[in-house]
Amino acid sequence: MKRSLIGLIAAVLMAGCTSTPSDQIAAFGQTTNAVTDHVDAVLNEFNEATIERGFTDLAANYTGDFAQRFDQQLLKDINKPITAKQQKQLAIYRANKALGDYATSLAELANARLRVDVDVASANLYGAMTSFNKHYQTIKGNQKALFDDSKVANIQAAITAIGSEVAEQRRRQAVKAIIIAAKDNIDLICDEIIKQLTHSGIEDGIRLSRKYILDKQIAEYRRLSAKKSSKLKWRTDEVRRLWLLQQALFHSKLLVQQSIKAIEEVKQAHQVLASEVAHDAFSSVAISNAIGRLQYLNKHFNDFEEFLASCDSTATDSDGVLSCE
Amino acid sequence: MSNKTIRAGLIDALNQLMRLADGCSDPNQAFELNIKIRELFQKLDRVIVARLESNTPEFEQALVSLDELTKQATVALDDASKVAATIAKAAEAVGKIEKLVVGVAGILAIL
Repeated sequence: MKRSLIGLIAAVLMAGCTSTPSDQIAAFGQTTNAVTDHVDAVLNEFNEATIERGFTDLAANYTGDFAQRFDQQLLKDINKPITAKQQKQLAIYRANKALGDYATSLAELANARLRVDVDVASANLYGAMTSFNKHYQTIKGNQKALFDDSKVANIQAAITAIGSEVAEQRRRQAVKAIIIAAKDNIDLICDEIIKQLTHSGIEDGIRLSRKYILDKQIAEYRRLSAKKSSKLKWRTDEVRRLWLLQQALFHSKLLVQQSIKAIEEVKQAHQVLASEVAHDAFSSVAISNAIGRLQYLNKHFNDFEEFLASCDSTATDSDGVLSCE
Repeated sequence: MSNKTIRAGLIDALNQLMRLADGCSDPNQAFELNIKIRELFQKLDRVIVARLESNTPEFEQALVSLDELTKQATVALDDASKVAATIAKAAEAVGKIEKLVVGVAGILAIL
């Protein structure tokens, strides 16, 4: 009795520790989706840094004899460089959204336990692939589709083959068909996001706005701390705040570089998935490692010290802005 | 690629103008410099989200103007009598870049 109880506990523990193929595919989908959120956050940070620069500019310059010149028109001129409407038209946003939609749908399919869930995941995947084509055609400015009709038909056929009873084997075959069909397309979309992040100049926009804000804040601190009435506690709090602003300036480039690295990891992890499932290996050390790296990077996304530690070397520009070489 | 060149020109000019404004002892000139810094920043924001056509005379003129502005600001860092000329150069550069981005305003912004 005692032996069988120990055996039962061991079996339960083992079941809890073993990751199923579906778990790994779902983990890839969920983590990739989280990475795409980080890329969106870079666009938002560009907006936020610009708006904050506008506030600081007016507050710093319209003082003393110039205070009377402050008016509503100045406030009106403070705008986000990328409006919500514009954002949806940006190549990087479109490519990133397509990747996120694909990843989410793949995770849904991997997690589907009922036929109705498969149907939902199937519809979403179809939508993701259609939007892949649409976004890619917009980015490239031509009519060349990423997924041609036969590829989409193959994927649909694989999903239909899952049948009314969601058997693991049939779901695996559907996931295999999808990942293999999507491999080149995911590569292209990831490359496009990396290219846009590398060349757009968003990091320059964020960096220069943060530098401007820090300059003005330090100038103000100098003025106020020169007064004999200033208290040590206030000065300490201010110095701490300025230090944080300076750290943010130093990390401006890393914000974008980390997003690039994360998208590279997504691309590599998907390549590993495609290569492994092609040999019907739905759970392997290679898959675990690839997804593990992706999950680790996502978990430590805002930890710039961790990111710097992973660089071959680091460089610092004249403003102290760090970059991973 | 074309945006990168204008962008680099704007960044260089802004860096020099910010140094100049920080050390400017004349409050009126410092105020004017800060207005030009703001206007150049607004142009930078536009350049980052727009695709510019580089094979135009306007593009070349904007590049030259930014280069001249950066050089002028560098001279003014050591010679306060050149600040007024730097402000005028900045106004000229703002105008040149405005001509460059005016055509792309409102167009589908593809980074």
